[in-house]
Amino acid sequence: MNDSVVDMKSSVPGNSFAETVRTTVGRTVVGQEVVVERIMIALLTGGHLLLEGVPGIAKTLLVQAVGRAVDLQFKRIQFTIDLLPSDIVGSEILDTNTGNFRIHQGPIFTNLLLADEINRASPKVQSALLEAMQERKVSIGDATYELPAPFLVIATQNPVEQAGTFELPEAQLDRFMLRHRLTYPTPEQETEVVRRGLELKLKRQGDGAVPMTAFDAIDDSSPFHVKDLTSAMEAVLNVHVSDVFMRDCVELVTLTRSHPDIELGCSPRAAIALVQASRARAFINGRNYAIPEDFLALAEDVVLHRMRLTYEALAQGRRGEDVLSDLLTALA
Amino acid sequence: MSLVVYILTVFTMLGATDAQPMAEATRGIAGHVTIEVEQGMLRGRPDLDLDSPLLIRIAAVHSRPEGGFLFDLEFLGTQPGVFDLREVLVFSNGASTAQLDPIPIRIVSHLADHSASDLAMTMPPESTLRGGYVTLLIVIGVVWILVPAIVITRRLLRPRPDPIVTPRGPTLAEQLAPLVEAAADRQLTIPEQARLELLLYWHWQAALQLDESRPEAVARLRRHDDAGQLLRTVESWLHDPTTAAPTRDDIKKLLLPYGHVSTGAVS
Repeated sequence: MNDSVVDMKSSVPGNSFAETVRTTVGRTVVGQEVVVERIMIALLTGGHLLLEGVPGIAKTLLVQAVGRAVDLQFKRIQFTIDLLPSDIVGSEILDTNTGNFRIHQGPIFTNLLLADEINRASPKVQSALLEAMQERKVSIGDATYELPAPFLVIATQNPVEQAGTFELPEAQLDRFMLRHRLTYPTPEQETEVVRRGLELKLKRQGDGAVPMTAFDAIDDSSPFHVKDLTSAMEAVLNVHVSDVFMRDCVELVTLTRSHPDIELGCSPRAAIALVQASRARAFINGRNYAIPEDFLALAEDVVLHRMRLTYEALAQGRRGEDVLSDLLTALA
Repeated sequence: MSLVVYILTVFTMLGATDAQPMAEATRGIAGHVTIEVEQGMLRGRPDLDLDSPLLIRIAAVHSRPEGGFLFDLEFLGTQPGVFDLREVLVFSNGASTAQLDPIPIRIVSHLADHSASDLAMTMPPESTLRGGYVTLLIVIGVVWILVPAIVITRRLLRPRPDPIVTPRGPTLAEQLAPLVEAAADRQLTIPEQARLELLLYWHWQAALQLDESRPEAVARLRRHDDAGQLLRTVESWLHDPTTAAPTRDDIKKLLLPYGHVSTGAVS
C-alpha cells in the first residue's frame, strides 16, 4: 500500500486548516481524530452534531478544545428533567431599579453550545432547542433575537442509563446533520491519557490550590479566529460536487425508502446533509471536489439516525449498520 | 318314649349351657362378639364388600396379661342365616383362621320372606369406567405420545419439496463487463458512470479480499499500489472539474483488463 498517496490537491487550504485544528486539539485530547473531523464538518457546514457515547470519553473536553482552537464562544448546558425552555432561551426580568422589563439572554446565545445529555430534558425543552437550531433565532417576550454566527449545537446522548430519559423522535433527530457514535480509546491512547493526567499540576488560588483538570490544560492560544472559519466555510461552498457524486448520494437516500428492513426511510434533508458534509470532508482532506470516499465515510453518521428499522428486522437481530451495508452494495 | 325325649332335652340344655352362646344380630344392624385369641393379631378379610353376606370390623383389641388378645368384633349381616366369623377373619399375616374355635353367629330378619329391601341403598353408577381409572390414564398417555409421534413421523416421511432455486444475481464481473464495453463505445450516462466507479471499488475489494466495511475498504483501496492508480484516475475523471475529459482511447486502455474479468481473478 502507498500511504503517501492520499489526495492530489493538497494545496487546497482546507488541509492546513484541518491539520492545525487537529494539532491544537490533539494537545488536549488524545485520539478521537474522527470526532474532531466530524466537529469540523459541523463547523464548516453550519450543521448540528449529535454525539453518542458512554460517559468519560472526553466529549465535553473535545468540544471545548475545538471551540477554543477556532476562538468560538462556548457554553454548556447540562440537560435535566426539570430544565425549562427559558433556562435555555432566556426570559424577561423585571428590573427593580427602573421598573421595566429587561431581556436576560440564555446560554443559547453563543457560537458553540454543548447540550449535554439532551435526552434527559422534557420534550418541551428539546423542542425549544431544536426549533432554535433550525431557525437560528429565538423569541423572548415579544421580541425575536438572532443567534450569534456561527451557531452550532453539539448535543450528547448517553446510550446507557436510559431510565427517565426522553428519546428524541426521528423528526427531531433529522435536525442533526450528523450523529456520531464515540468509542473507547485504544489501550495506547488510554495510556497516553493517564500519562497526561499525571503531568497535571496544582492550580493555585491565593494560598490554596486545587488539582488541575484536563480543562485547565486546554491550549488557550487560538490559531484561528471566527473570520478564518468564515473563510473556510466559503471555501467549502466552492468544493465541486459532480453529477455522479450527487447521483450516489440521492440514490443512497432513495434506497432507504424501499428497503424491506426499513420502516421509515430518510428525508431529502439526508441527501442535502450528505452532500454538504462530504464537501466539508473533501475540504478538510485538501480536495476541491468530493469523491465517493467522502460520502461512504459519512453515510453511517448521516443516514443511520434518520431511518427506522422494521420490527421484523430488529427481531432478526439486524442492525442499522447491516442494512446500510446492503444499501451501499446495492448502489452499484 | 317321653322319658327319652326328656333325657335328650335335659342333655341338650346342659350342652347348650356349656357351649359358647351364639351371638345374634338383626340383618343390617351391627352385632358384637368378644373372642380370645392366643395365636396372633386378627384382621378382617380385605376382599369383603357390600355384596358379601357378612361384614366385619375389629372394634377394639385388648392385650391380656397372661398372653393373647381379646378382640371386640363388630359384625353386620346382609343376609339372614348362621355364619362362622372365622370365615371373614384372617390373621394379620394373611394366614387362615381355621385353627380357631368356631365363632358362630346368627343373622335374623324380621321382614317377611321375599320382601324387597336394599340394605346398602346403593345405586349403580350411570356409567362406569370399564377397565378402571388407571387403564384410562394409560390410554390417555399413549394417545398423548402417539399424536405428536405420528405427526412428526408423517412430516419426516413426507417427500421434501424441491429446494427453491433463487436466480443467482449477476456477479460483479458480469455487472462490470457491459459497462466497460459501453464506456469504450459511447459516453456513459451519469447513473452508468456512478455504477461503473462503485463496481470497480467493489470488484477490487472482492479481489483483494478486504473484509472491512465498504467505507474502510474504499479508503484503503485508494491507497493501494495496484488498485489505487486506476481508482484515483477514474475518480479524477468523474469528479475533478479541473481534469480534462478522457478520450475514448484513454478509457479503453484503462478499462481493458476489466472487460473479461471474473471475481477473484485480479490479485
